[in-house]
Amino acid sequence: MSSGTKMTSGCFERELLMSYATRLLDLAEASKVEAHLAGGCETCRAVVNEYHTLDSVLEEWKPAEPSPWFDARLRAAIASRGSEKRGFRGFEWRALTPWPRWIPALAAALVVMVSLVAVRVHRTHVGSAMAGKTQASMSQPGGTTVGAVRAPGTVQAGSEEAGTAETAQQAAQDDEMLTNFDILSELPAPPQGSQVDN
Amino acid sequence: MAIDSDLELMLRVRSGDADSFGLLLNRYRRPLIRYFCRMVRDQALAEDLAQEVFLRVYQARERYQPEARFTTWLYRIATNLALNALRDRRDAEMPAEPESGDPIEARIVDARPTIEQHLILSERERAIRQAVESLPDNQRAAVILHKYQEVDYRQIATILEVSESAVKSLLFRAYETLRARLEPLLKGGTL
Repeated sequence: MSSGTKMTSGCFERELLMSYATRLLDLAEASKVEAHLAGGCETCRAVVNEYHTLDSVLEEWKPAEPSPWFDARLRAAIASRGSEKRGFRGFEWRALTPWPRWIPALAAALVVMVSLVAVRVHRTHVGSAMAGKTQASMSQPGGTTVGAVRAPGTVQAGSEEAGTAETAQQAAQDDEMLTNFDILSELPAPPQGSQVDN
Repeated sequence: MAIDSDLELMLRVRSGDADSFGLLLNRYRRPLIRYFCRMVRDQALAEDLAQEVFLRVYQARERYQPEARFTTWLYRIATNLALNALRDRRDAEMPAEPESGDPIEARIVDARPTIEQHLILSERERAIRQAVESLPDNQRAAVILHKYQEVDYRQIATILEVSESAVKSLLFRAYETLRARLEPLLKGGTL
């Protein structure tokens, strides 16, 4: 402060000493005050000490910390204004999250993997159940039992065997039906003019 | 170094880089909330105001010109919001017609500390807070910016839109008032 004039006693004005104590002076002005204080001026030293003490007392006013939901609230505010104002289009909030970018990708990959495993396990259970149903009908006299307890890899073979049994059963039913049609040929022919008009 | 970096980040924000805005938010979230807490005392309002600053910075990014330090611009927005909030609070305390305006700035907050806040604050800390809060708005802003936010007095002049000598005068009057009000504490006693 260029207006820092020495008093008749050689002391500085109070305002300048305050500026010195609170680090408002530039280097040149601060050097002048320091030289004066080094000369042993008790009056000016006392004033500077007063401001230093005030400075340390003011330090006791502790700052508040941001609440943990500050970022979430700001995110919501930007999102809501983003829908209203052009300027917020395309804002990517991942930039404000503390997590690395690969974490959401990893989470998505895990979800996909778990889903695939779940589907595969479900299919295994369905295959086992089908094989269990055919086991009873495929028991052979004195032979082996089909599909009692199987390893997962044998599920498809069990299903094929079950399919073969169904085919044989269907063929037997078809033969019986054809036999019934043979009976029809043995019936006497209907009389002439007995057809029903539709 | 950090000042240049702030400018660079803001220029990147201006060109559409959201990551840089995230870095600025991480850097200035805490200082801004602390500043507002000391200015308006109420933490919820302080966080609303800090949020408003970040919103305005982002909205104004395309118009941003690196003419001054980024922190000068940031604290100028913040100080205007804080001074408006203090004015609105005073208006709300007076039995007058409520004004319409910005939802944040017009917000009426009972700034009286709760019983819990009374218990948490030490006698000394409360005395200091009350002494600072009793200062006129401009002096309070100058002291908080200078003492607690460590903002250079030249920047304070720009933020408060006054001359540098006026800032020194503001600070001198403020520190003299504080010295008088906190005299018992300065002598090592309690209030």
